[in-house]
Amino acid sequence: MLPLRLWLRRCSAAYASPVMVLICVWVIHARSGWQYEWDWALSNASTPSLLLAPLLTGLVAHDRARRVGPTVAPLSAAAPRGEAGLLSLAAASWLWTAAAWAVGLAYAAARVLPNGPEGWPNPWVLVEVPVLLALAAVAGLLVGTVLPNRAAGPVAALGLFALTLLARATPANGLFMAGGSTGTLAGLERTPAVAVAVVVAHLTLAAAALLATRAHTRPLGRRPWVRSVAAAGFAVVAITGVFAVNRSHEPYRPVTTAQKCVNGPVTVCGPSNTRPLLARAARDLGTAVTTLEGAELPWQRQYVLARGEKVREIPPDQSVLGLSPEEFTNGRLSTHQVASTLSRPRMCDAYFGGPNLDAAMENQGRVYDWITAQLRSSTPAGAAPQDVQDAFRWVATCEPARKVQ
Amino acid sequence: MRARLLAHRWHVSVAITVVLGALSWLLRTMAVSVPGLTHTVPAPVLVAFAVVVVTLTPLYASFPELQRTLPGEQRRRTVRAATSVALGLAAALPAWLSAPADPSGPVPPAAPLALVLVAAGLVALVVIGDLAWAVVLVLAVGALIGDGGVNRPVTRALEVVPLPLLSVALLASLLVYATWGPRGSTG
Repeated sequence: MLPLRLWLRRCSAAYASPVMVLICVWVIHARSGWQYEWDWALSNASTPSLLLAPLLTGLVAHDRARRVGPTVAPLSAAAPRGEAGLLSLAAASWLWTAAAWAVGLAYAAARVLPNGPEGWPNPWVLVEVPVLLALAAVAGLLVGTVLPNRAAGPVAALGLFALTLLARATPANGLFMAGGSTGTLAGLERTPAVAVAVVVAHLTLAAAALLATRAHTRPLGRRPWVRSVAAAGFAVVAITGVFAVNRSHEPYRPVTTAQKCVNGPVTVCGPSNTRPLLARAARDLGTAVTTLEGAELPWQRQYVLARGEKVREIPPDQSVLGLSPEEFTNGRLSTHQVASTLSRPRMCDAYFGGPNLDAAMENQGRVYDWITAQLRSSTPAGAAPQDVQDAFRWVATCEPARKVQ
Repeated sequence: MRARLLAHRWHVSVAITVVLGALSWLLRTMAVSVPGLTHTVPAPVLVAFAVVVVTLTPLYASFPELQRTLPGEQRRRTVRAATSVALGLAAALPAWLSAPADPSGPVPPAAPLALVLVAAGLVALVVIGDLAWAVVLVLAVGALIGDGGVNRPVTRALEVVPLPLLSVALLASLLVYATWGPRGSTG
């Protein structure tokens, strides 16, 4: 424990942690709309890991390269428990970074709680971020060991950042990152297979980095190269695993939990843990329908919050709720969201392509424009013009979407 | 002369900067998808972050405690800093001049951001020394992902401050570096 306590006081991450806290809170605060649901809040709270992970890697590499002297390093490697000292550097830096992230997480939770969220968040992010940070810390140890000079820090940090961007452009998308959703996750959940594959891959890569570090610091035994080969093998297996899972699974899938409905002039149903969003949608759609009563249009009164392929399974007498909490203004749906939802009284098959796509978009657009103008007008809405009524009839009686077999 | 160039790692810095400059020019029309952002980012902007980090490398203290006692050090320090900034500009300019006007989504304006990064890097060299690269990294990536929100705070802040003022800030940071020099090794 002594090496850990020493490194907790001396590692560069200790000095950087106040900055890390500021980064976390600022990046989380910069986005909006996430404060109405647990899952997006946690995913958004993980966005700073895009910066925390490279920074942690660089700091550990710097400390390993510059602050573990050329005399101490071989002595540590030779002593029975000496290697624990080097690992303590990674562990202490990880603790400081994870603590900074936890503060960001607490800030996100404090913003979500007043909105009365229901249920529990999908916990994968709480595993994925600490594991990613552990990989970053060990990778820093490796770079600092093989590159014992001033370049270690920037090389490690820029290298991990570049790897994150590269992985995103390949079938290994998901590696070296965690969370970071830019839109609502209402109606979606993390696909467990993908989450497990990414976590296992990060742990395997961390083990590979540790093996490679050990191969470099203790080139002992009859076959010192075995550890390097094993490390490379681990890395290949980890990346191949993510490749394979990504081919057969999406990172997120529609939820299968129970539905909950919020009633009013308009009834809105959706997954039970999205009740704060459903309540806002029911309130604002209800107000809009009441405002537009004079239009004499048969407004849809039942909406369902559905994502992905579930959208095609909505019965013809209901429609899909288009929800973008990032566009909320003072907790209210934007005029655009209300108009686009009301102008789509049925999920037409034409919206998914085919010969009627243009007609569907044109008719929906005509209704959307009229609703938008009425909602922005200060005078009460009168009867809709004939062309709007015809357009509304088209989108309300179109061929409903069919489930893809 | 050769010894001085090697001691301040100019050979490595110049070589990597030339490679990064070429990479930036080759990728001038490419936009990169960044996790946590809804829009893509021009590749030259990302390469520019690395250019700033690399071109600051010759400015770290090479002889921590001895550095200040070397004859003519302040004059050489000024030349080193100016050369480093010029090297970064030379690497980034071809891509920036030949890149399409807006190949991707909104990102903080590249030129003002680069000036801020270089200025912050120079001051960080004086104040914290060896970890100056971390300040550049935090500001660069932080600006990128912090600007992903609806209000785009970084872009708005950079648009408020006129470019000449940022140039003056860069000159001031050069002066700070030339006057006090880099902080010694933290090792």
